[in-house]
Amino acid sequence: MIEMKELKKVLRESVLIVLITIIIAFTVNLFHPRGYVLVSRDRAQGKIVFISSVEAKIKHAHGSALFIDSRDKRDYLRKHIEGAIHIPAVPESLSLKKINEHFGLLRGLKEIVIYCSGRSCETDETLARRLLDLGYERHIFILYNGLPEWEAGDYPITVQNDEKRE
Amino acid sequence: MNIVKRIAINIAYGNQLVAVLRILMGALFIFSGFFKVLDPNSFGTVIFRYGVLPDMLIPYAAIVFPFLELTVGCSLLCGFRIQSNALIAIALMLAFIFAISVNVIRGETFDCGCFELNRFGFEENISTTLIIRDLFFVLVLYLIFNAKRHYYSLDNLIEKKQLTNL
Repeated sequence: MIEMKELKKVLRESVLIVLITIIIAFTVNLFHPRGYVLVSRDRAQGKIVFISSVEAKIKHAHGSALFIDSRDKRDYLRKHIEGAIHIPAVPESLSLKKINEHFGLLRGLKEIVIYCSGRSCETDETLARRLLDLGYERHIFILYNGLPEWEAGDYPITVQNDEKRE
Repeated sequence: MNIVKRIAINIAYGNQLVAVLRILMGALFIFSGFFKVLDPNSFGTVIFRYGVLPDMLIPYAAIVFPFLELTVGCSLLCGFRIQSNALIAIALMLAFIFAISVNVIRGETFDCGCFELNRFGFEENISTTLIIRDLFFVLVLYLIFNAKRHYYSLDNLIEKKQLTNL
């Protein structure tokens, strides 16, 4: 068994290692091309625009927007905004594959509206940032309160049972 | 019975088996941390899914945790400051076990994103099996932490050098 004096030394050393690691981690993150954006650069550039479900519904009704569900496949299949396509934000490899699959649609004339399961789910912003990184130059709209607000407004959604019926 | 007891004492004191386990644990942490460091944003989304940290802390955790894994992994692999790093590793594992347990109780079954072992085809979905596996890792780390002698390690080499210089 380890002695108390030795344990104190080990604890001190552990704290020091953790502190040094934290400093290295944040320094690397600053220069990391895919680093965590602590203050969203995209939002500052105004490329990402947060909209309410009412605004999104207008775009939906006009057919002027391409709705993208950024949640995982299971959630998408269970329920999604009518006409929305599925491009998950994670894992990255699958996300890139799906972006490639829908390349034609994404490059089309329609505006992009991305949503996920709520205000703090973040996959919508991750996907938006990825599209901007890949060279998408127009504004990307994000449904600020996600699918719950859309549902609360009683706007059109597709649920799994309906798909089965089709 | 005597042989079993002798083996147990040898393991507790630190034999080649403990050294091999230390190297394997080190490699596992490096592997796990490496892929998370490459894409901290996706790792942030994984942390979000656990629902155990306040939203505002997620980016910081997503930046720091992968680097801690890398530091601990490299140190265990090389055998540098073994006790301190094994202690940090145990703390990390206990944090993971806590997060997984909370989600097992909630009935969640998503990919835990723990050691990126799904890249080798191993499933890492939230489950009690995963908790048992992580508890086993804690036990291994405790053996490493508690061992007095560390074969194939920098610590051992440094100690030998100091003794020859006396």
